[in-house]
Amino acid sequence: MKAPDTMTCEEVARQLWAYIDGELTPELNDRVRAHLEDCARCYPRYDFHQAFLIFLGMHAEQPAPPGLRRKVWEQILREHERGEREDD
Amino acid sequence: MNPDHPPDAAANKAGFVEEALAHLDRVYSFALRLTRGNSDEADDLVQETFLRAYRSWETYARGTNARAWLFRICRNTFLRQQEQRRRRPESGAAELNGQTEARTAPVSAFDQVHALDPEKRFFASFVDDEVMRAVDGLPREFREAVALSDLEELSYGEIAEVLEVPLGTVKSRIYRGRQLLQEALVAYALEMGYLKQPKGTA
Repeated sequence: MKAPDTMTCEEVARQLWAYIDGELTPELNDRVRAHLEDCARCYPRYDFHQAFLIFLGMHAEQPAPPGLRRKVWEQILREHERGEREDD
Repeated sequence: MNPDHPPDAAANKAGFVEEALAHLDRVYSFALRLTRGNSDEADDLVQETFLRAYRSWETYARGTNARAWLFRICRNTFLRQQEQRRRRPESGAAELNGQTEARTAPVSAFDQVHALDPEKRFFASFVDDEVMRAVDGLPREFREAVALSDLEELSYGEIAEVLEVPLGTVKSRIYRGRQLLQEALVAYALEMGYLKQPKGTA
């Protein structure tokens, strides 16, 4: 017999990303977790989504070019000096 | 803060360097996604962002989220620049958006990968450029949501602050954006042979 708080696979699929992100209410979070523990269909999907996010994170780092840091810094110095002249 | 030394311009500048400039790499990385990987445009956008941020540094509440504040300035600056450019005759960007929107996979990315590569080894075949090109192919509203959540690791609340939309909108854009990105990556992986149809029976 189906327990009253049992979620369907479709309902779980809709909440899965927010579940992985830790953005569900504690009550909904527990219901999704309970479903995943028992469901052979949904667990691999959850596992795939997690692997996908780890994969994206691994490709995320894009440091600013060193020249840009210098340009931003010089621009702020100019702006600062302009501000000081206006104060005088 | 020492009450004998009220904040002056020099102290302000020091605070800006410490709190705002520390996020330069992340703002540049977000600017690259807004400009679909155009490094010259991203470079200009970051300079303009930090200049605007410095000018309104007085209005920033210290100790709150400097990163989200900078991302919001960056995005608003970008949108303003886009608006100005739109008045000039151009460009392929709108058509590209339409194409991404129209394409809907009949089978989910997960189902395809689960059938062909349950160990998910194909992920290891991608290089950075390929992943970022796929992200850049997403329509802007999904691209910025995915970039902020999965590349910059902001929470839904912080993303709502940057995009100035309700939490529910953030949740649905992340959901849809990730689905679209998975579909695009799987389609590309099939094309490149990173994902292969099985040969005979195992």
